[in-house]
Amino acid sequence: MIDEDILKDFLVEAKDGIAKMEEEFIELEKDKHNVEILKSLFRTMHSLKGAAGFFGFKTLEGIAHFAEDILSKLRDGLVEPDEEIIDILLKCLDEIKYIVAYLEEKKTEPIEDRILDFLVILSNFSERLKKRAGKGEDVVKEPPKAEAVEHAIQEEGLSPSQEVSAEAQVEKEQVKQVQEEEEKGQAQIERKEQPKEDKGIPTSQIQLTETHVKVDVKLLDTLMNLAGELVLARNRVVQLVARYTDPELLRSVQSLSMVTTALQETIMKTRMQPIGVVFNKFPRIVRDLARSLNKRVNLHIEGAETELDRSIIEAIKDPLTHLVRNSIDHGIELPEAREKSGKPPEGNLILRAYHEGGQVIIEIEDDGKGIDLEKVKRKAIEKGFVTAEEAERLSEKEILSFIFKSGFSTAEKVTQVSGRGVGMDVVKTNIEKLGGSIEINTLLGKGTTVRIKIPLTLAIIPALIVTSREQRYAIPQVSLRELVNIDPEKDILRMGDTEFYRLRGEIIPVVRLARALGYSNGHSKERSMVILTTGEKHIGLLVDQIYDSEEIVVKPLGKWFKNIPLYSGATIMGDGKLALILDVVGLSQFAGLKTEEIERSFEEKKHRATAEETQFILIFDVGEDSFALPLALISRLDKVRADSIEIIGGKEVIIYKNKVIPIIRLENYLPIKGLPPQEEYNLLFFSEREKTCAILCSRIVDTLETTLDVETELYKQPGILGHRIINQKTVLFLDIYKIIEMFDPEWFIIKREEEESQVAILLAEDSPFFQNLITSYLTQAGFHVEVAGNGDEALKKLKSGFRPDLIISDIEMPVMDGLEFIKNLRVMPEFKDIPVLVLTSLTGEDVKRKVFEVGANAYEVKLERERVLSAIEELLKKSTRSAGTL
Amino acid sequence: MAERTLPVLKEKKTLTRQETMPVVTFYLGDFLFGVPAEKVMEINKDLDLTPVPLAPSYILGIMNLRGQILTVMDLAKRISLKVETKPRLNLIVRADEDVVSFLIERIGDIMEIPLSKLEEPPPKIEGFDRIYIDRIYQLPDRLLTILSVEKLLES
Repeated sequence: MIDEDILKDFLVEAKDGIAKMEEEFIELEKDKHNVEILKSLFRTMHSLKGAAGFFGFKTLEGIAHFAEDILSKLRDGLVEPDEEIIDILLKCLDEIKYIVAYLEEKKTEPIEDRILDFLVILSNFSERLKKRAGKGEDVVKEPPKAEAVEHAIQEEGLSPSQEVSAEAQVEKEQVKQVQEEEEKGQAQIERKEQPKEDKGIPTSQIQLTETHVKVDVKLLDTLMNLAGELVLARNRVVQLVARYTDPELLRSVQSLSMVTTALQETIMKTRMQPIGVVFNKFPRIVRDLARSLNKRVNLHIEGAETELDRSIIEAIKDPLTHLVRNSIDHGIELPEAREKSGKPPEGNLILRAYHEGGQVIIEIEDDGKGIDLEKVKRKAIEKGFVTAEEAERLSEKEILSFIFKSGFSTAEKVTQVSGRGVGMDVVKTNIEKLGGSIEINTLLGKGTTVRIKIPLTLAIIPALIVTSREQRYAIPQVSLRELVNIDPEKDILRMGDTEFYRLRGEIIPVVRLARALGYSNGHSKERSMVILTTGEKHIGLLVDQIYDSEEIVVKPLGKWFKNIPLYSGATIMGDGKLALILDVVGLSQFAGLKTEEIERSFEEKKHRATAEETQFILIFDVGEDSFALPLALISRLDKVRADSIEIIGGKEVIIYKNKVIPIIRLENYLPIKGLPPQEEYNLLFFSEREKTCAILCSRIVDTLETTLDVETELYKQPGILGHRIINQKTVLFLDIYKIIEMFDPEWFIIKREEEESQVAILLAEDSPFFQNLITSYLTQAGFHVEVAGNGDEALKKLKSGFRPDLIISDIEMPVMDGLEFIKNLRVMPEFKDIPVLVLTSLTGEDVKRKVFEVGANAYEVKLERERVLSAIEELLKKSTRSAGTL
Repeated sequence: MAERTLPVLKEKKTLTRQETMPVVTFYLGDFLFGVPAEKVMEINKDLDLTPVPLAPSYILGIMNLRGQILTVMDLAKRISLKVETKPRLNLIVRADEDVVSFLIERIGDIMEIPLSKLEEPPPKIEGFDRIYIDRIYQLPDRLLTILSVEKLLES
């Protein structure tokens, strides 16, 4: 019925109160007129009464009520504290103690005649006192209010407290009845036991067992430090013992080791507090803030029970408050604005905490208007953080990082709420000080999520040990992303003076630890790369060797090292030697300027190369001519002997794996010389649904990873997408779909049902190669295709009145990329429901998530013709269906 | 109440100390230096040193003294002593919160030096920086330079 935890809290508090009152009563005996003590006693009794009332412990409440009543008279000087009064008060305390002990054991109040009798005595005593007070002080100094209130309570039947002695007897019966009804069966059983207790344990001797003690936080901190020392000593012993073979020694060291770990963990627990301690302050803050801004905000708190080190809880309070304020002030719109953009008038703010990989993640999520990147960009230019030119090339992440720069605030006017001199830069610094990181994800019009990652505890952290020049360094595991073994000669790329590494396509600046530490070069031992993350950017740290990961105790460094950003402290290793703890943010600052330079120059390069991703292409010869095809389009390569080619029904075929496969000779469709007779030919197979055909060629030249960047002007010819010079030879890029169609016009026909109105598709794609290829297969499938070279052109086409049934967009495009395009599209009311298919050669969950976040409906890889077509069908079906229901 | 009695006690202390001050002396090259004994925690031999790259040149690194991490300072470099030294002892001193180990060559006597005989350093000192000198004391055969630990520990 009653929540166990709350009851426990109540009991702890009650016991504290009782202990305190006991001391104070003793004090009071010595100094009967000490008003301070009387006041304190009254307060304690009062809160006990309140709490008992809350739980419905009526007897307890009753006793506390009368005691409080008597105390109030003593306090106000209405009666003299004589022996009799003190006696009865002490008796009250004893009974309270008895009831609390009983509650702790049985979770319910005792029902005993003795206690009820005592209540009657108390009631009478209180009444007598009242008269005495009246006589002593002439007229009524006693507050009549109290009585009135009591009567009111009585009438509602909430309290057993009585003011009038005549009623007491009746009341007593009532209380009994009520309680008996409440606890029927149980009470009966207990009743049998009760007489024993009654006689056996005189109330005055009740000992309350303590389940909780209050401990000075400093004491806990000291304990924590000692545990840290113990861990270090243990580590040392474990290492030393490895030299000996005495099994008994090993066993005892093992148990020492286990106990130490257990001890450390237990002590750590004493410092843990649920994050709810902080979260619970927010309902009030949010409410007040929303009111003052005329906004409506629903606050949802998730994971309030997530535990964190006390010191961290203290430290995140302010940053969190700031972020919550920001969300309400800048994020969530006014109710009218929300309704206009189709959202419910109440904004939602979610405060969420959870554990993930030894860290605590805190998210502050709102469904407000999001951060306007353009606005941030403008502001950054205005403030002189970047030039307008540079700003154009910045990624979303880079733009968002301006928010954390000091002196930056997007609020147009500084409001009382957010503009208090504390910026996001302070928030970021504070979180980084805790070894944490912060990142922002935002979607214009949809909302913003700020994610904070912080370690569970500060004192002992897991760290990776690396070496540079024979010295060990510790890197907090929190910042670690992965480890890579590399050959610096080959794998590290250079651009000017800076070095970088390509990790699955991502450009990561490289910091050589030895060099960062100020050693001169000429050091070739560095073969291991640690990929570190600061939350927003990654760096590759090149070290000599990577050791195990260890639990380390963070110790501060002296003041002489304060301005070296590379270290965040030092630690004592198992062998008693020291290792410096590397500060990842400091290291990244070391690479800071360079990163941007590298990214920029890469961006430029990419733009020059029409911003297309690379593909593997296959180069092959047909006679004297060279052709190229994306490897992904070819289902199989094989060789056949010339004599295995048969002519069946006027068509050249081969029997391949028990299937008749038609053969296509390119010279039949393209103005080329064609194949000279050979003994053996190469075959390129194409499969489409159940059908397979093969192209005959004389030689496979090479495969090559390259961009699909082609010249389209010179060879305008059905079946050719364009040409390019590769290794001094002109290579023609085949439009394989066209060729196959020329070979067999029926090949691709899947009967599309509703042919009356042709379905129109807008294709946003920058690469001419893909423009042609995709258009080619879409047209074959019966669609009308309009091409736009980038997002901006696509938007212009739409604005000029083109109304496609579906939009296909690439991601990487110059001027305006696909994500930006879709974002823009989704805010235009007439296009907010149009199905959008994103076609890309970029893969990965990150991209996919992003794509759906901006509002795309599907996501496919460019060369998967069949899947693209079925995705289109699917989307069209859905949109006509939903149009039908409208 | 307690606060009021304190200064009196302090005064008494300094009064009794008026006569002499214990000083730990040590050598760097041929120079005899001293620091007040009350600042000295202990003297150690050959403790394992961990270098801290990028630190000021007079900081040699850090070391582990029974679980406490100390900064190790090359005292000769700190005071710009223009003499080759081969330091092999750690003189561990404390001032306020900071604990630092000074590397010295050889330990000398612990002397009780009459305060009245302490002199201001001359305006010009040959061989090292004057700013770290607290007082000087003329011994029969040589000069004892008493260094200011506070000054030395200033960053």
